[in-house]
Amino acid sequence: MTGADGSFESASLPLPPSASEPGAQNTPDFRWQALFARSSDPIFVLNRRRRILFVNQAWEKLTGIGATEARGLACIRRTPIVQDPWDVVIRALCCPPPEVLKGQPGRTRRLVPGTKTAWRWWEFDFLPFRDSDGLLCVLGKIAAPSEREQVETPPLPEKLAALRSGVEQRHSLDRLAGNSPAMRRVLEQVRLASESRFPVLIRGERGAGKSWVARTIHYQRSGNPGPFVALDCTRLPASALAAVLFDHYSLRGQADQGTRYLREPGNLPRDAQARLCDLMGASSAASEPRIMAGCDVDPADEAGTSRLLEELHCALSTLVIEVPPLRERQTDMPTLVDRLLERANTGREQPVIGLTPEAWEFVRAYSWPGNLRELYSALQTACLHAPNDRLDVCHFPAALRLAVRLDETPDASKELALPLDHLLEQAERRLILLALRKAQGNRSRAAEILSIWRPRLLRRMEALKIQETG
Amino acid sequence: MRHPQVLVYETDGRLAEMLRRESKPRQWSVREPRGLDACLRLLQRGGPSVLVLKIGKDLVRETTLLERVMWQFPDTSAFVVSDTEDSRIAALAWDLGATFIVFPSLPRQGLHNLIAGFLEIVPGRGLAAKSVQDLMGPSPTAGESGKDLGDQ
Repeated sequence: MTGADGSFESASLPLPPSASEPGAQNTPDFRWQALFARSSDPIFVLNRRRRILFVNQAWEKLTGIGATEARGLACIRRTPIVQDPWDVVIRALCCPPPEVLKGQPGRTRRLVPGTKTAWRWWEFDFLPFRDSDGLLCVLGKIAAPSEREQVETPPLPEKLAALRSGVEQRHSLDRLAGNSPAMRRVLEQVRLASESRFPVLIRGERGAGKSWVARTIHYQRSGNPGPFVALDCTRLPASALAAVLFDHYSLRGQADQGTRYLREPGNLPRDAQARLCDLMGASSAASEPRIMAGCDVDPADEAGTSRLLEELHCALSTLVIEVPPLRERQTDMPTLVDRLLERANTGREQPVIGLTPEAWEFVRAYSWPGNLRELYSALQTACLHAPNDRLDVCHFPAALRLAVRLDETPDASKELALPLDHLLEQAERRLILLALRKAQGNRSRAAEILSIWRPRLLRRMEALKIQETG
Repeated sequence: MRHPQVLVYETDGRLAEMLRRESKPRQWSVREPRGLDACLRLLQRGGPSVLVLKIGKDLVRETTLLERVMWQFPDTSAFVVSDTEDSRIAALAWDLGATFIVFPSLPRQGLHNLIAGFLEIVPGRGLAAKSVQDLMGPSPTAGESGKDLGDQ
């Protein structure tokens, strides 16, 4: 079908016979094209370079693009917009997500721009096939809900839908992935959870990313998953919680009630906990929301102390996901820091692109008891103080630096070495750097601040190998 | 000491006035940033913050503000207030990370009590102090390392 590299250019691909063609069913050699050609589901096949090899008649009908025209078109990763030519829109829609190109089956829902306001959702299933060289081809299937189904929940205007779509894309599976064994396990559990509507209990330390995991599960659902409603059971009044949980407050009329994510359900009043148990019995229906919960403390302990109803604990524990603390994700640290920096950089004119080696040492040395939330907060603070595109240790909050230093302090019983020359050099180095920073890199001004002559400053900078002026 | 801050984004100043009146004994600082950038600048200064966002005048601008704040400052609590009940907009606001949505069926005066729950857990502490204090736990090290970074 294709050349050694799976490219379309070297492929010889005859058009499949139509379903009505005589002999199509009795052909002695099995022809996969004939099988797919008859499918009423729009189907397409891409080669490893994401070029279209094959489309069936249902695909042609849905997209309005003929098979001959479609063959060879390369699918591109981008979010289609109204101004795009239609073939570009289709090429963007049919592009498999990254995890599919890595060999994992994938499902995604994409917004099809309409010429006026009639935007609509199409659902895509991707099934990759591999050979010894890696990815061989990808089989794609499109499910386009009928206009009647789409009308039930009229789509949001284009720009608002794009905002929501952006949130959904941020919570894709590949954004959650990590190299640590604990995160790989979480990823598998998230995949499993996204295939059902069972309640999910997410456990983990404060700031470990429980809410992010819950959102990721929510947005993996095919079709319109409804809204993701996160409720803080500790700080919202009981009446407000009850209104959203049991009366669909603010969301009446929504065909799919989506997910209610409860932070610390043990803080709900007991009668609300009992009602929640009843609700969860019915939450397999789309008209009722799916319940997920996140707990900092072990819910079994809470059930033991009667803060959390035993029935609710059991009902929530259909699937339990343990989110590992950051200190157990050292191998994921570079990826996490990159992603959090990307987030902290939003809107910055001069984005921070990384950390100095010393800053990396610091980040690895600190235990991050507040997990991802604390790491993000620290990076955000550091970005505010960084004059250039690299974060250094001095840009991080003083309390964290002190904590690292205290951790590094050797035991009192050990003899403390005090290499005077080295300590003096360190102090001199820091003072020079401080003066240079205050003087915004102006060496004459820095020399004035230090009350020394400029040539002396230059000599000391050379001796101490100080090159940065920031 | 830094007071907890409530940022109110609206066009007519009524919500801010109401919150200012009701929060007087509580010493919240009620600010009315004009535009996205001013709002982000205020949030960057730290402090446990609540954003009260009145939507309906310019939905795109308002929801963009909500999205941006929740993305960049996930610790901020965002209350969305609307004069009209539209479940699609509510669904969008929840998806963007709203903490709660106040529709006309809820009395506006209730907003004050809703906000109080989010500001009075750590009264007067800065955002960084809150995180360090909470995150480092009650160890002596944490206590010595700086009780209130907001004061630094």
